[in-house]
Amino acid sequence: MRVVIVPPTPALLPGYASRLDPVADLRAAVTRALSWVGPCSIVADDPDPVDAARGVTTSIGHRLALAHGLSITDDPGADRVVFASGSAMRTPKAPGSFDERAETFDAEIGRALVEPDPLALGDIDLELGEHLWARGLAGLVGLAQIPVRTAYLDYDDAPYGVQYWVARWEV
Amino acid sequence: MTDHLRLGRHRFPADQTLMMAIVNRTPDSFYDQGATWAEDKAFDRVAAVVAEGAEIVDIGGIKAAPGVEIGEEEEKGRVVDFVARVRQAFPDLVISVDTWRAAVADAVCAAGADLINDAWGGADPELVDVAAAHDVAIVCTHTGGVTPRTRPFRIEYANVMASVIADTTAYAERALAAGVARESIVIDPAHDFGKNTFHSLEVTRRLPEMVATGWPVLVSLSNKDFVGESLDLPVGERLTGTLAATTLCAVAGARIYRVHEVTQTRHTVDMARVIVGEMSPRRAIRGLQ
Repeated sequence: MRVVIVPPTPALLPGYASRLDPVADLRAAVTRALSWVGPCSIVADDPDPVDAARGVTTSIGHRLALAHGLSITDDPGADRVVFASGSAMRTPKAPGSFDERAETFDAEIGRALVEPDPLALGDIDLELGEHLWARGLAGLVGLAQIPVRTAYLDYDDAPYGVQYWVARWEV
Repeated sequence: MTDHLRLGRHRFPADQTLMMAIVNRTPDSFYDQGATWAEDKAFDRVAAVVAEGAEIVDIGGIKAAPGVEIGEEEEKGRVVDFVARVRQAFPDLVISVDTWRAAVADAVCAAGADLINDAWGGADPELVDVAAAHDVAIVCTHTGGVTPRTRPFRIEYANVMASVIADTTAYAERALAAGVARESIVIDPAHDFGKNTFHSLEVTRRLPEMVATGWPVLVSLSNKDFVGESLDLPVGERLTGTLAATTLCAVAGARIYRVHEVTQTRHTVDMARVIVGEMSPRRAIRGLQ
């Protein structure tokens, strides 16, 4: 079984493509990671309630999965793709502006993803994560009992003040 | 009509817009008043517009308005060696020459020109043969049949756009029949040429009809009298009006823009095309992180 963690970043959606890709390195890592899995289950936040009230019915994660042509299944033994991102408050110009707790919060999750230390993901402070505009944390918490054999952290950066990880786990 | 545009030795995707920068080798053109009459000044202008991103330079040796008659030999003297110099210095640049004379066109093509910009609507019937012989591109303009270097006087059309389309497409077909490659033929409504301001405004408004013919459309709007009269502004104060007209032409689907101001026009055309969804933003991340 394989598990992939990628960010639900709208800039990765085909409908938001630019002529000069602002997330070229991230896109390359995400594309590589998503092509690494076979038929898979998708773990992604539901659309934000405010967006849902405006008629949005499909999460960014599901839209990214569709855009990448993933074969989605409910089989519990299938590969798993978790859409999650860290804080959006790493710099004064970040979407959520700056919060001094953001870097530590992100670093701890990054460490857990690469070591790997799944149990630590089970201890993520969800309240703080929500305050820091992290997304998909429930999906990360849900990985706490996964027996990881090998972990690869292909991307670990916050280019726009938003923390992105692209991680691949061999289970 | 074809999947690409070929201007002499240069190929472009059919949906790419191109900036054609005006370079006058004249002492008396209306906008620059001889600023690039000296050859070195003209060469500096070429270097400057290339740095601004112009894909094409349009070199002209005779101003469009009435004035001192310039013979064939004098016109050649103004442009032929200059074309050769530009060709050598800028191998990737499309060189256009603004002339209606076949003999001049023949000489500049031998010197390295890629495109003949016939602003006078085929006044010299042999021009298409020269373009075919050198395998260069040609711009087929509409002038309403006026003599080169004359101003319109009480000219009337029952339907100006119908006349523009009929004449430019007939010229394009004549070029095709003479052997010019289909992907190397461009049509131009020629604002202000054989037209009063109301005609030029109607042509601008109805440009989608011209684009619908399938031939790639060139527009030459830059600082012209129809802009000046629309806003009652003299030469030198027409950039904003020019760019407004440029926006409509970009939305309509014009492909080549003959301009004095390259950067401002490029920004205007790209912004218009991004708004209508003809192309993507250059680099968008706001709210999408």
